[in-house]
Amino acid sequence: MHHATAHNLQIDAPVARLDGVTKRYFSGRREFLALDNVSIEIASGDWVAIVGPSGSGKSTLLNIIAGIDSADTGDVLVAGRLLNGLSENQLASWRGREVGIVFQFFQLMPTLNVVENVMLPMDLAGLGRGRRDRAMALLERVGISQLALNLPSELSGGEQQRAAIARALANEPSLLLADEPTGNLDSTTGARIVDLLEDVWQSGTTIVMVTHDSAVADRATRTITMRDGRATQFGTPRMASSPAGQAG
Amino acid sequence: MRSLLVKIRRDLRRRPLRNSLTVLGVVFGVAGVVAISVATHAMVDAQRLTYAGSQQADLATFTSDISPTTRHLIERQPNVAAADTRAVTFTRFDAGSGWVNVRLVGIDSFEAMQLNVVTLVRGRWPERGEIAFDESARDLSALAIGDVVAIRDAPNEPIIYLTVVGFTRSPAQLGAGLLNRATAYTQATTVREMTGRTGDNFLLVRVVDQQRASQTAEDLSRLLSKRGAQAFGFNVRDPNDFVGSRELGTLLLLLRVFSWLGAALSAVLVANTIAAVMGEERNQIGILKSLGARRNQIIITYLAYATGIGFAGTLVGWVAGSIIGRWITTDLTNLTGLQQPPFRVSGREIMLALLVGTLVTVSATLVPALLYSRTRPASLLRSVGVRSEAGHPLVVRLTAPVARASTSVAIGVKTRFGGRVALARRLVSSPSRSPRSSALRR
Repeated sequence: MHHATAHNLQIDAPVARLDGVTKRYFSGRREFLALDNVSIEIASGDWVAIVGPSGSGKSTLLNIIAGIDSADTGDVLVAGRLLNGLSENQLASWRGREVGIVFQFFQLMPTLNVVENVMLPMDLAGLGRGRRDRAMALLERVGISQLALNLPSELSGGEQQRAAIARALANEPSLLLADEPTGNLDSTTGARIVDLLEDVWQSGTTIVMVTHDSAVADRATRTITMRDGRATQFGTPRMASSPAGQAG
Repeated sequence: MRSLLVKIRRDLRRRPLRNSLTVLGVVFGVAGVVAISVATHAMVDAQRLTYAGSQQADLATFTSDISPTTRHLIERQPNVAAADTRAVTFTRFDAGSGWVNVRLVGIDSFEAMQLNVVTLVRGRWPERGEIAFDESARDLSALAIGDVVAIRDAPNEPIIYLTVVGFTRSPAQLGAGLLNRATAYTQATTVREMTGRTGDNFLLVRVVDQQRASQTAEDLSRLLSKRGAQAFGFNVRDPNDFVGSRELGTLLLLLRVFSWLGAALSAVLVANTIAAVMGEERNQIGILKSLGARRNQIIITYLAYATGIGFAGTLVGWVAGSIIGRWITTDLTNLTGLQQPPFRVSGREIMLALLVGTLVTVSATLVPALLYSRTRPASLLRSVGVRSEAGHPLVVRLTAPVARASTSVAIGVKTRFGGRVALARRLVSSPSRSPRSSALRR
């Protein structure tokens, strides 16, 4: 098993560090070990792909980094905060400022239009004026500004995922987490979404992405392979280009 | 919070049928309680109004013949504000549909009535050979102006024929339908001829100080006795015990009990619907928390939704309740002969409506909102669906014997009750006290 201390990458200023993290789930009386003593580090400016078979603990690992799930044991340090012991409110405030999350099934609010969905995290964080302008700029960036007033149900899967990425970037998070961002899209649309993520990464945002797709994983700077709840392999696949100031 | 309020506004429009039915549930609960409250208070007003408006007598008694001189003497007694007399007999009438009991009241001058003033509703006051009925008499017999009615005390007695010329409303008197006896008015001479009397036989007195009404009744009995007349027991009016007040009080109490039962039933239905809506919102609460929503933001959001539903139901329920209450008041005042008071908006009913309507929806929302707001987003985003064992060992253990007999029955029971058991367990145990939650958290 590879741990952060063992892998061969040079890591500076980790944006996330997990140390000996274990997570169990219960289904009735049955216990399921989702994460087994996982220790990893993710450096600022990294684009990390978490890969592995179904049920290997990829999404659980991502959820714990995002603070939307908690570890049973081990320390979770993300964006400068030790998440262990934070209350739900503290976690929510921290998450709203520091983390952007992109879900496989987009998870846009169905009764809010696209621009309102993008403004939502700013609203929750209590940002004042300029929210709409910023939301429109983000939609422009992801290429769907013309759909700003449409409801999510009126958008294609790819357009919804673009809206979700714009929403995730709303509060300029230091870390963008994406759970199977192309998992519900056709290959062409998926490739465009990965291009968009690369563009986001190029601008300096750290990305951690769960994917089944090896082609998508190849676009990342690093991979973490999960198997049976363990981080078994840390790789450094090719990277086309690196964000300014970061080694690829 | 602006985006969240936009979301709530659109959510309210998103489920028009369910939201309308929920509002309707609140309306039923509020309307029932408000209607009975409106009717109860209106009846108190009606009693007060009738007492003031019709110059109700405080003392009343049947007597032997009273001369006008005796009546004038009574009027000059201490604590007597006014006195009036009637010639009264209890007989029967027939308007062509059978013999009906009637209290026939003879009055010398309908324009000069001082106490228990009768109001003419239709037609005109009767002259000699004519009769006017209290309008509730039509509950017992089909009567119309111009009809000729036969009056006869007993089968072998002579019959008198009188023409119906008007309909009246008698103050503070139970309706004919309740008493199974009509009230009618005619000239006093007609009644005196029927009864063979020379004077009136029913004395009405209004006192100055009601506290001394009983003493005044005793004084008047002695006075009548000295003058060779006899009083057959004075009825002293209790201001809080008007005619039929006990029956009315019982009726209103029953209606109040049923209205609160109705409110409780509608509360359960509304709470059930809102709990289902909140269950559907579980995923969206998970998204909101993932995006950084704090507990109070989530709770306020869904309380705003509940308040919207509750307020709409309260408003419609209050209007409906006020209208129904007015109908009940009209019916009851007609039955009891009380004067219907004008409608007035009462802060008490508005508060009651808000209490019933808003409290139900807000409390029904608060419980799941509190529960979900403290649940990890990952749990909220996880698809629950319908599971046969639903992860609830208690239900699994309890249904184990059933499962051996019939798997499908066991699955049905678990699906039906599994979620409720889990919800109850989570409500009674905070995450910090729950052993499993503790294990999961740390």
